[in-house]
Amino acid sequence: MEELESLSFQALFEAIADALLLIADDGRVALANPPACQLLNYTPDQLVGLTVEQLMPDCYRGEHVQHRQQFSEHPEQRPMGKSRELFALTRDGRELPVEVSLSPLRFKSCTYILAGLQDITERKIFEQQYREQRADMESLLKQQVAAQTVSVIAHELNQPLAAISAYSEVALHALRNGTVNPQHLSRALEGCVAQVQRAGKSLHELLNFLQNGELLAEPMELNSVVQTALTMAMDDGYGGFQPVVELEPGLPPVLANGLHVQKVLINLLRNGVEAMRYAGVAANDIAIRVKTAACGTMAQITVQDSGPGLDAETAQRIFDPFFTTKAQGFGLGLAISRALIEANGGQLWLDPVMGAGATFHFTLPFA
Amino acid sequence: MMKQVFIVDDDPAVLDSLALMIEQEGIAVQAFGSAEAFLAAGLGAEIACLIADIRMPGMDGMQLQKVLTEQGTMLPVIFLTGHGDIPMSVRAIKAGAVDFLTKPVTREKLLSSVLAALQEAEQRLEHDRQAMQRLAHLTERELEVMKLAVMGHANKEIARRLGISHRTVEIHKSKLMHKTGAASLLDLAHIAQECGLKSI
Repeated sequence: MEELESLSFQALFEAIADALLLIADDGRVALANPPACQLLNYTPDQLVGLTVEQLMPDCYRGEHVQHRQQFSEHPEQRPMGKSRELFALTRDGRELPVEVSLSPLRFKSCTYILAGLQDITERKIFEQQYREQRADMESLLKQQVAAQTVSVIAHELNQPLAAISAYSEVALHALRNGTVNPQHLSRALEGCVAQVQRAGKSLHELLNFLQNGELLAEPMELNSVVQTALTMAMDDGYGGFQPVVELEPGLPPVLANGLHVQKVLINLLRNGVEAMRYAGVAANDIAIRVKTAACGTMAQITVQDSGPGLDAETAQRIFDPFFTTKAQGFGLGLAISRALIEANGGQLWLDPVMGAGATFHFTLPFA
Repeated sequence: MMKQVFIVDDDPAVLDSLALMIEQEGIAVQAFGSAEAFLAAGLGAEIACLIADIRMPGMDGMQLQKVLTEQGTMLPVIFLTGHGDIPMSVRAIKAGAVDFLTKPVTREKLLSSVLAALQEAEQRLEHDRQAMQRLAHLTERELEVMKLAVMGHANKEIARRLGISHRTVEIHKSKLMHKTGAASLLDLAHIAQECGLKSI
């Protein structure tokens, strides 16, 4: 036991295999253990004395000074950056995704902060691969559903069409030939009528089926649905955009199916991100504005990207089923989105003002 | 000899309209709602062809064709399909279908296909009849020798199996070659196949 007591803090600090930095209350590195030096590519001498802000990418520095001051006022043991990704900046300019845990260490004169850094580059790569796989699967599934649906519709209509075609030709041939057998003729024409009726009935049944699932509408907070949709859109492999959110505070609840609204929002966000990415906008500069506002008896939601926008021809056809501008799209997203919003008693449209970026609006009735 | 068209389609309207179309031409038609019903009905030896839908619940068109081939039924088959599935049509044609029609099918297309199939049936029947005639004059012992010969057995083996002398086998063989008009053993094998001569 005596031996353990004689173990110095410094020796322990040096021996730990995880990257550790001891930060003084002025935000400067007081001590760095070898794994930390290796991770950040500094020698211990170089690292000591640097501010923690110098160890993070430029864009995080400003706000971090504030965060650090808040933490010094209420020090507690916690992981850092609960809600966002963190990056460490190495001496050679690489930005490593990291997880950081913070523990206050009280000494006689002042409080230091012990920061543990964990390089999560590999995990990030796995996560990205997983997301891409999931997106691929989803896309494959959509393709299957579209193909199946079209195939069913085609079969349901082709059968009566085949019969109508044959019956009509029988009647026509009889008339042309002058050998009218009244029994044959009435069988042919009755067949035509019955098959036209059948085709119409099949279509109505199909439409009913597609609109199935009794719309479950309930009062809901639109702003929180927007937040959820944003989180999901950023988390599903299409991410990497800067949301600019303008939510009207105190917006009364709307009456709608939450899942439908979520689907539509995610679809619009994805379209925006893809359009901008396709136009060559750098991932960091992809910004999408989402706005909610009260508009008479309806709430209006606006999703606006800052991409190249749409040309007049595309704008005209953008809601047509199977119209797409994407190499691997099916052209169903907007058609389905519009149908969903209309089923919820609202409308979805493209802003006719062609400015920078495409702007979509949709409305939902207040509860 | 009477000409007859069989139609098999699970869709009553398609079945009725196509039947009417062929009936209008004065050709006898029998319509069936399933492959099973068609097989259960049993066939006469008329000059006939079959129009069958590819996609049917239960036994589908391709399976029906396979059963007919296995039964040795030489019925020309015309397939109907809802969509022009090229790989499937290639398979069907390879398996002996005479035509592959896409619904809706025009009167002109259907009738020309049916007439061609009936002509094919007539030829097959005539061919069959001629081949059968060649065997009609063979004695029972000659038929036995023929069956063993087309299975590839040498004269010595045939003699041993039938318990007769080598020389007798040679005499039977020469007689049956003469009666059937076969120029070679290969030719004889063709005749045997055409007549559906079963091996022992």
